[in-house]
Amino acid sequence: MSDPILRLEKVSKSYDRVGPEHQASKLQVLKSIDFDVYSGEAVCILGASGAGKSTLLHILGTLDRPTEGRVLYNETDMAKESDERLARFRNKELGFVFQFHHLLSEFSALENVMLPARFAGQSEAQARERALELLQLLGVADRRDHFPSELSGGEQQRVAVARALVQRPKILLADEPTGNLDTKNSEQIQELFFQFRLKFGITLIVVTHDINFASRFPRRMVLKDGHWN
Amino acid sequence: MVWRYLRERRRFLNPNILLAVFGISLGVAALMISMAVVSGYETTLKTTLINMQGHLMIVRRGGFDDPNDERRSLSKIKSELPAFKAATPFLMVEGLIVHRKKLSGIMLEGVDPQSMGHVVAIERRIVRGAFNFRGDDCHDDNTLQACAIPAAIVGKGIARKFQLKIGEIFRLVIPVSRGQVVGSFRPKAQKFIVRGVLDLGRADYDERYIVTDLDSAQSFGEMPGKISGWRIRLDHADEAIPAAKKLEGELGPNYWIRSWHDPNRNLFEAVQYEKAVIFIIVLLMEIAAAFNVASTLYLIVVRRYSQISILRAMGVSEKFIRRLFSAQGLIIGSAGSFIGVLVGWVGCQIFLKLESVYGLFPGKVYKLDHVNLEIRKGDMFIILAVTIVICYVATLAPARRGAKLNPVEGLRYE
Repeated sequence: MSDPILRLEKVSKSYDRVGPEHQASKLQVLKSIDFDVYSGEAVCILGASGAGKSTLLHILGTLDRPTEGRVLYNETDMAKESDERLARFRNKELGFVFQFHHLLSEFSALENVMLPARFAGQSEAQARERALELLQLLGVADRRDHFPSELSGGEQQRVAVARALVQRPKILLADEPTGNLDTKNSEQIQELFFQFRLKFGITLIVVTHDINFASRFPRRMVLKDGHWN
Repeated sequence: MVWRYLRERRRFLNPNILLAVFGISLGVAALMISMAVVSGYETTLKTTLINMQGHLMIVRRGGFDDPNDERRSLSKIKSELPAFKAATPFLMVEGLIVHRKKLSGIMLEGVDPQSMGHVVAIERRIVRGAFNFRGDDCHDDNTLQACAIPAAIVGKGIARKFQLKIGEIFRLVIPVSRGQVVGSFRPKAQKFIVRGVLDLGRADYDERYIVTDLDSAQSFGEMPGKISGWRIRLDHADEAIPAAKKLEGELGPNYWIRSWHDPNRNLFEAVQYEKAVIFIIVLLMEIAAAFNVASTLYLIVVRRYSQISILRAMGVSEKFIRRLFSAQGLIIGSAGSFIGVLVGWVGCQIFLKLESVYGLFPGKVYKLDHVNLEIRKGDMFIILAVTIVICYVATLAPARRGAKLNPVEGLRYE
C-alpha cells in the first residue's frame, strides 16, 4: 500500500480552564491519537457529543494546532508551516463543509462558490465557469443569483458543498454536514458526497451523528473520551 | 471584496459606519475651517503690510544728496535683485506737529506720487478724504489760498488727537541745518492742509505718520533733490527676506535694509505658532473620531466572527484579513475626509457671509478691517494626509484582532 495522504501521530489537544475553585486545570480533548488516511478513502468519525470529533476535524483541517503530536500531509509536518503557507494549503488541497452553511450574506450563491477560486488568483471567467458547473451538478444552478437568505436550508448546504469543491480539493472535510437538514435533504446531500467521491476521486472524512449516513462508509472510526474506541 | 462589503446597501446604512464617517468629516471640516481662518488672517495681514511698506525699504544713512550717486546705487540694487520690479523714492523728515496748543512728535514722509503706485498701495488705507496731494477744487490757474499750501495725509491717531478735519490747516516744525556749522539747527515751521486720513492698522504708526509729496517734503526740509532711500517691489513677497539679507552684504554698512517681514516678525511668528496650536487642538477632535472608527471596526469584527472563520477555512491568510479591515477603516477615513472637505468648504462660505454681514473680526482688535479665508493646498494636503494616517492607525488594533481570531470558535455556531 502507498503512503497515507494524511497521518496523525500521537496527537493530543488540551485546553486551559479555570475550575470552580479558580484553580487552573487542563481539559484533555484528544489523547495521543494516531490516524492514517489513504488517498480516495471515505472515513466516517463517530462519537458522542464532546468526544472531540470536531476538534479532531479542525486539527485535520489545519484550522487548529495540536498541543502535542504531528499532523503530516504527504509527509510534510504542518506544525512547521507558516500561516501564509497553511492558508494556501487549505485553499488548494482541502474543502470544508460545516453543519451551518456559513455562506457570506453579501454575496450571491454563485459568488460564494467562486470565492475560494478568486482567492487563489483565478480569473473571474475561470472561477465562474467552474462554479456554475458545480452548481449545476448540485441542482441549484437556477438559484445562482439568489442571496443566502433567499435560499432554503437544503439549497444553502448544496451551495456550501459547491464552494468546498470549487478548488478540486484532494480531501473533503465535513463536520455534521446533514445535522441541520430534514431527512430528504439529508439523504440527497449524502448521495452527492459519494457521487463526488467517485467522480473526482476525493478523500472523504466526515464527522456525523447520523448512524444511517455512517453505515454507508467503508471505514468508521469511533472517538470516545478523546481516543479511538 | 472590501468594496462589496461596504457597497452593500444594508451595511452602508449601518448607523455605526455612518456615525464613524460623520465624526471624521466633522474633524476634517473643523480643521479645514480653522486653518483657512488663520491662513486668511496671515495673508490679509501680509497684504496690508506690503500695501503700506512695499516689499523692501532701503535707506542710506545720511540720505542721497547727489543724483548721480543715487542713480548708481539704484542700478546696483537692480542688478543684485533679479526679482526687482519697481522702486519709489522717499524722504523721511522727523519733526513736531503743533496744533490747538498741543504738540507731538511725527515722521513726515515725502513720497513720489508718480512711481509709488507701482510699489505700495497706501491709498487703500484711506479712511477719510482722498489720497490726493492737490485738492479737488485746485486747478492750474487756481489762486485759492488753500491750494498753495502743501497737502498732507495724516494717520488717524494724529487726526483724533488734534481733532483734524479734512481741509483743516495745521503746522509742522522741523529742525533745518544751518549749513556750514555741523550739528547746528534752526527750527522751521510750515503749514500743511489735511487732504486725507490713513488707517495704517497699527496704533504706533497712526500716531506718528504723515505723508506728503516728495517735492513739498524736500522744499520744507530745504533739501532739494535729496531722498532717504527707496521702497522696492519684487516679483513675490517671499523673495523679500532673502533679498534683504543679500543686499545687506552687498551694499555695506551705510545702508539700512528692511523687508516687510522685519518690523512684524514677532506678529508673524505668533500667527505661525497659533496656527500650529490650533491645528493640534482641533486634531484632538479628529483623534477622538478615529476611536469611533476603531470601535466600529471592533463591532464589525465581532459580528462577522463566523464569516472571518469561514474565510480562514477557505484559505484566506491572517494578513489578508488584516488588510481587509484596514481597508474598511481607510474607506471610512477617506469618505469622512471627502465629506469633511465639502462641509469645510460650505462652512468657509457661511463664515465669509457672516463676516461680511456681522464683521466677526473687529478691525480694532485684529488691526484689519476684512479678513479673507484662505484654503491653502499645503494645509489641505497635511489635513488629508494626517486624517488618513490617523484612520489607518485606528484600524490596526481591530484588524489585528480580526486576523488573530481563532476560526474554530467562529465555526462552532451559526
